Amino acid sequence: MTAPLDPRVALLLDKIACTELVHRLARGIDRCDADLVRAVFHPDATDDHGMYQGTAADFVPWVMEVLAGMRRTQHVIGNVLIEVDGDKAKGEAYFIAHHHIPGPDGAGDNFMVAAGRYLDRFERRDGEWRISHRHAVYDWSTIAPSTDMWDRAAMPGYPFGERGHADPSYPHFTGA
Amino acid sequence: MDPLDRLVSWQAIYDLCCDYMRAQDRLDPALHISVFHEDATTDYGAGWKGDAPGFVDFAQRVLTPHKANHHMIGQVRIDFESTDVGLGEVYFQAHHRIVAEGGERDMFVAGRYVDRYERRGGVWKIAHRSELVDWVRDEPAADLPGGEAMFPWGARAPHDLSCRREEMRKR
Amino acid sequence: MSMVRPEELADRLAIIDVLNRYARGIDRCDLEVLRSVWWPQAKADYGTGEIDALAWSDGVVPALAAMRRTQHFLGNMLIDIDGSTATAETYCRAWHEVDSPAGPQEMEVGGRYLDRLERREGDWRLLHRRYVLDWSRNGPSTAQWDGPLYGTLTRHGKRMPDDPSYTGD
Repeated sequence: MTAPLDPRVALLLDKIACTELVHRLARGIDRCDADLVRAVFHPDATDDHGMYQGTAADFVPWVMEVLAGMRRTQHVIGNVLIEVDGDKAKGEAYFIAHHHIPGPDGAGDNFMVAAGRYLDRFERRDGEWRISHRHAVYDWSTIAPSTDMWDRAAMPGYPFGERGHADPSYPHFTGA
Repeated sequence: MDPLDRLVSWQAIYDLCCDYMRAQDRLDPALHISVFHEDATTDYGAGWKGDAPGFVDFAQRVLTPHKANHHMIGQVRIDFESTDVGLGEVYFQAHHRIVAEGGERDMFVAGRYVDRYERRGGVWKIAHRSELVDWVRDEPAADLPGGEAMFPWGARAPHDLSCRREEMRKR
Repeated sequence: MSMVRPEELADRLAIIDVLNRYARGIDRCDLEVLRSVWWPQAKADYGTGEIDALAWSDGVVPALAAMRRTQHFLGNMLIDIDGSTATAETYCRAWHEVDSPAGPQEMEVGGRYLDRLERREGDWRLLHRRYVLDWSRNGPSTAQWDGPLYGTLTRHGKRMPDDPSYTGD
């Protein structure tokens, strides 16, 4: 047995673990990485996005299909307030989500921004924190024709964000 | 400063900053005042400069007529001057949905809080907060068509889901 | 991406501080702060190839100073620490207001910093930074500085040495 952690250290580690789950879920969504999204949830976790309510297991294919209808997304996470109570925790994480969406009938892209908070419940099981319930609450949104001025087709060498493992962050984290 | 104490202090101050934002977005004056020391001073320019209770009255009065607010924190950088005094810079981006003549508008104010935190009786609270503005934007609301029915929307306390604890325990 | 170990807590906070100081150096045009985040041989790649990070810093501050103002708002930070090296991804929502013949323009840019950091003698700094661009929003500035709400917020962000975070005003 190792010596028990100073409770102050233990609390910090719990808060960081829960915060990291929020950040990893945002990363999983933005990279359309179903495995990464699945990995932050407990097997019996649930999710409520309003238009989707059900198990996290079913949320994954649902959200991947929604994302497939968009060109790209960025979910920026701000304030993450975590309250820890033993092996359970509750979180409120502010977000601003940016979406590039193809316009109707070949019109130009729309840029949709939706912001709100993720109200999460976390549980520690067998020493590992994961999300047991996520509830997305929306506070503001705006949509307008895209004013993105970079022509990605004309700039092949430029490091634009990509979905999936083509994004530079994958070799970055694996040390390739 | 002992490294562990520095970490614990950083987290305590970060949580204060989150509570401050939460109090503004949920319109919770009790939570709002709780992040300040009793003799704290604040400076928000021409709107309010003075003690913390006066600031809380001012802010809650300004925000209450808005339809919704979303105060988001970015980086939090704290320099500890001593074991019980820290100087901080906290980035923020704030959204205000205003009901104006001619329709609803989105007003954004982004800037930084420049703060002094003090630990008294073992408890970190804000001793001074100044708000600096780095950019502002004002535009007509342009909501996602159909969004009202598509998403669960935030509300002020006690109606916001985050305040409905009994319901959250069972969801 | 592994869970944080207790002994990494202090390293983690030091790394967060480096990431935050970069944004502060940029937004305040504070070359000393900006230079302090890099190791001497650090490289940066903002899309046009790998360049010397300190030389880039020297050049970027006057370019930033020519803009009206900027805010680099940092969000999600995923930090992997492995002994005295670390790998990080940091989300950024960067706002710039620039002059143009047509009047002030806003450029808002969303992207990520992909960083490698190293600890030397207890000091963490960046060894390599790569910027990845995710989105941008561009248009005429709608900045307003008066009216019932904005008019009360009379203390505005400035660059070094005039920003209230230096002057204490």
